[in-house]
Amino acid sequence: VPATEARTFRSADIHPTDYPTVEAVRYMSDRLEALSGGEFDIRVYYGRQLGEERDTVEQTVFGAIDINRINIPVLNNVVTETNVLSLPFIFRSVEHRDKVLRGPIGREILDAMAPYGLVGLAFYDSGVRSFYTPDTAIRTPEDMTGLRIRVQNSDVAVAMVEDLGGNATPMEFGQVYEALRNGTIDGAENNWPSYSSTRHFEVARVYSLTQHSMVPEALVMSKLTWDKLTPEQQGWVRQAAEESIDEMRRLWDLRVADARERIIAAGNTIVDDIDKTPFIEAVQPVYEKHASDPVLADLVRRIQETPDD
Amino acid sequence: MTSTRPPLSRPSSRCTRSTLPTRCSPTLCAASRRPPMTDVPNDPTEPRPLDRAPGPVGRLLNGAAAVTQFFCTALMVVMTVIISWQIFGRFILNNTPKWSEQLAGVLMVYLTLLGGAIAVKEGRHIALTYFRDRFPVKLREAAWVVCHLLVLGFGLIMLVYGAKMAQLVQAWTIPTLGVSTSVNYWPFPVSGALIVAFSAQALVRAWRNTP
Amino acid sequence: MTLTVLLVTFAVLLLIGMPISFCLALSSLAAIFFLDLSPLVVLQRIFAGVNVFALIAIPFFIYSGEIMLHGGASERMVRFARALVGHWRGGLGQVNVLTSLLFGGISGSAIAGVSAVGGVLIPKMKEQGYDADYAVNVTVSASTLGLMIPPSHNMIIYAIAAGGGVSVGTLFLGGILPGFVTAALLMVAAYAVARKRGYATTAFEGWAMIGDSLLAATPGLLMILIIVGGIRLGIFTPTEASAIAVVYGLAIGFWVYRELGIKSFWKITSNATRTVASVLFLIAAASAFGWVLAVSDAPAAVAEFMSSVTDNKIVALLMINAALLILGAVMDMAPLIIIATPIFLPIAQHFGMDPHQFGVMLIMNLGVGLITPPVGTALFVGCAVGETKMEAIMRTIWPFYLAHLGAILLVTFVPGFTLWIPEMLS
Ligand code: NA
Ligand code: NA
Repeated sequence: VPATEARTFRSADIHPTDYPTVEAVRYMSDRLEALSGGEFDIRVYYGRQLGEERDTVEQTVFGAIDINRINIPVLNNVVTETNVLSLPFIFRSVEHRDKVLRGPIGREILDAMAPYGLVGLAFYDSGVRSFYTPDTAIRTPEDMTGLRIRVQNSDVAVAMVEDLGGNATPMEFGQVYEALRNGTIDGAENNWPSYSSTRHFEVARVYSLTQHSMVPEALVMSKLTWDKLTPEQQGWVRQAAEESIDEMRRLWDLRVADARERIIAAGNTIVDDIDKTPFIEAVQPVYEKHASDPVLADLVRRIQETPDD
Repeated sequence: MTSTRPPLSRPSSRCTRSTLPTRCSPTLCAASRRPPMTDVPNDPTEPRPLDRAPGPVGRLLNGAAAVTQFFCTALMVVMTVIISWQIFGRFILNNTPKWSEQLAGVLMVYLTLLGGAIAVKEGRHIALTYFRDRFPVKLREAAWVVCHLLVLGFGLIMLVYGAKMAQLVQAWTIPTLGVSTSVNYWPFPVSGALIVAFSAQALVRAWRNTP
Repeated sequence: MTLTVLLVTFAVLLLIGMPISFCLALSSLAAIFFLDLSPLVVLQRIFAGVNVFALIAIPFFIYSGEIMLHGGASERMVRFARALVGHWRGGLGQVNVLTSLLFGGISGSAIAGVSAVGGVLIPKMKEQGYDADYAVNVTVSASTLGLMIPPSHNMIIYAIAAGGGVSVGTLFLGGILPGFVTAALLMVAAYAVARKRGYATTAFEGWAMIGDSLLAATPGLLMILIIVGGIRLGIFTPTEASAIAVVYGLAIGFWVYRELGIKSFWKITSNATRTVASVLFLIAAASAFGWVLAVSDAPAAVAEFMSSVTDNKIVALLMINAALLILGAVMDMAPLIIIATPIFLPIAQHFGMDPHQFGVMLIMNLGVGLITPPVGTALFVGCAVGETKMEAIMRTIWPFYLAHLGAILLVTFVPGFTLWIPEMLS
């Protein structure tokens, strides 16, 4: 392979310019520049400049985007193996998730993307997702009966809410604030920072910490771009990406603390006395339906067997 | 109460004929009596009649356009039904259909691309002909031909790369619909083929100097 | 450099009379080739540009406007407006503005407005001794009121282009007062010109006529209430509201006014899809163009240029208005919203402008573009309906341009015009 000339990689992110993932990729750019002796760096096109995630995934496969920071649910319909990460309650705790994703299982899932034209570089934290509603506290699955809950456009997310007794309502992200305020939907689900930055907390005042999902985000490179690099150059990209994980985590934790403080200051109700057992039992059909494939079932088993520490 | 109803189709654009005179050249004169695709400022609310006395190829293309237009009209009705069903599902059945948004979004792409091809045939894509109409005759003809060739070229790209794209995402699935993502890209080759045919038709007519 | 390739190709193609959607698509393709990327990107952007659920409101609002136009609603609005203001100086001119305002409540398309209102009123005005240029001037300049009065599919395009944080409900409400202010200024212009030209006035038709015609027009006028109220009360999303508008329009066309049949229904639908396809095709192509603009860092370059010229809020906002008016003269509305929003919105926000206020300002500027040559679609249709030359129109339209500019300046520098109604109702 002839060495690729010095260049700036194009990287896409839907988040705004000061978001931890965007900052982390800029950090990666600095590291890459240092490692490559100034040959490579990265320009981040933040805030949907290059399109929605499902579109930028395609553009990454075509080689128009070099690096992409993507939500796992968007990858679910492309790379089968990523489905295990979207399963509700697949991770017992943040420690358990980190252990899995930074270990061999995480590597295996990242490597599974190659046949689809993507090179998995790293997983970024995307926090812990819980339900929020205008005024209904959710302590048991029964509390969700009949609630119209907005979910991401993902089969697993739809199945989870339906199994919990809710009425899953896929809806574009941009419409959720108004729909919550107007009562078109009765709730949605997200992590602390998004609950805060989308201002959904203004219209959905009860945050029930069900912690049903810890789905991460993936940092990927276009395989077309990757294959043009020499093994040494590929090594720089990998190392810079891995070094950005901790930076992302540091920024993320600051963000979570900030968001939590802001939301509590706003006087929102935080429901944290929740027994997760009935929720876990209620979502078992999701596992049967979406993780019955032997490869996925095996991944699920190995994730569950991974100890927390 | 009686009042004059606005007619379904408007009188054709007298405004342009008088302000932007069609200075015909011998070779393109006949072709421009049936205004070439960009010479009419478009009242998009006005459907253009299909050609009056077509040959066999013309009849075939008219047929293709008519079938496509019928399909587009049906799509509009289906989209209305889908979204109405979504509201009905949420309020009356308290069970929002999961597929409705996704499906309506895909159908809209079909409507856009297929309808866009018909607009090429009917000359309803909005263009700025102010400057071209002031070119000398030879240059005007050349510009007209170049425009049609480039549109034809873009149709080819849609045909070839649309098919390639559909193939690339064959193994992916569209969430909530459970069908292959390539469904998204099928209308590209179809629309591309129609655009190629319709622009080629216009070029051949101008060449043969027939309306 | 990519930017140069993009813009030069676009300009050359525009100049030789290429349809604008293909100018956008082909210049994006040229830039993509220059960047050594696959043409797949252009097709992907064309797909992604229209595969947006919120955009479905566009076909539906266009469709429902078409249904109202041919289902009997618009002529009853003309009748009502005539009873109300027909006896003022420049009578039918005033009727024209008021009808456009009312028609704006059922349609968001200036072109549909020109055909609907102009189709009925321009012949009538000429018959009663008004000059053709006056009739066309009033019609085309009032047709843009439909862009500001909800429903307005262009505001939905803006909300999508602006990304999160812009509410369609707030935009819809925010457009109402600017719409009324513009209408009032246009009525003043219509009055002034009518007075100067000495058009006769007609007699007041009486309160009974106002009552009767209002009653007849009510089913159509209720649509605005259903749409804005339905969105506001959370009965449906803006997209769903647009489908409701179609169903409602069909219901009153079939069963209240009884002017629709199966055959005319199919013809109306077919007409609507033609408009829809050309509008969406433009949006799709603009999305490819916007992608290349983003990749070549155009928004940052414009922002840098503007901040190097001025750091004065008033000058900067005037510059944005001027840029929008110029761009609006040469391009169509929908693609411009997509292209201009990411460039100018951050600058306006930097100077503390609310994104909803900016949206209304943008729509008003680009609305003037629809009646400005060389690419003035509403103007073209108005000339065609009025059987007049564009030169004649351009000589005498300036009082109406002044009215528009006045309204734009008010909206630009007085946030309350846009934000007062939404704030009052929240
Ligand atoms: Na309107
Ligand atoms: Na214009």
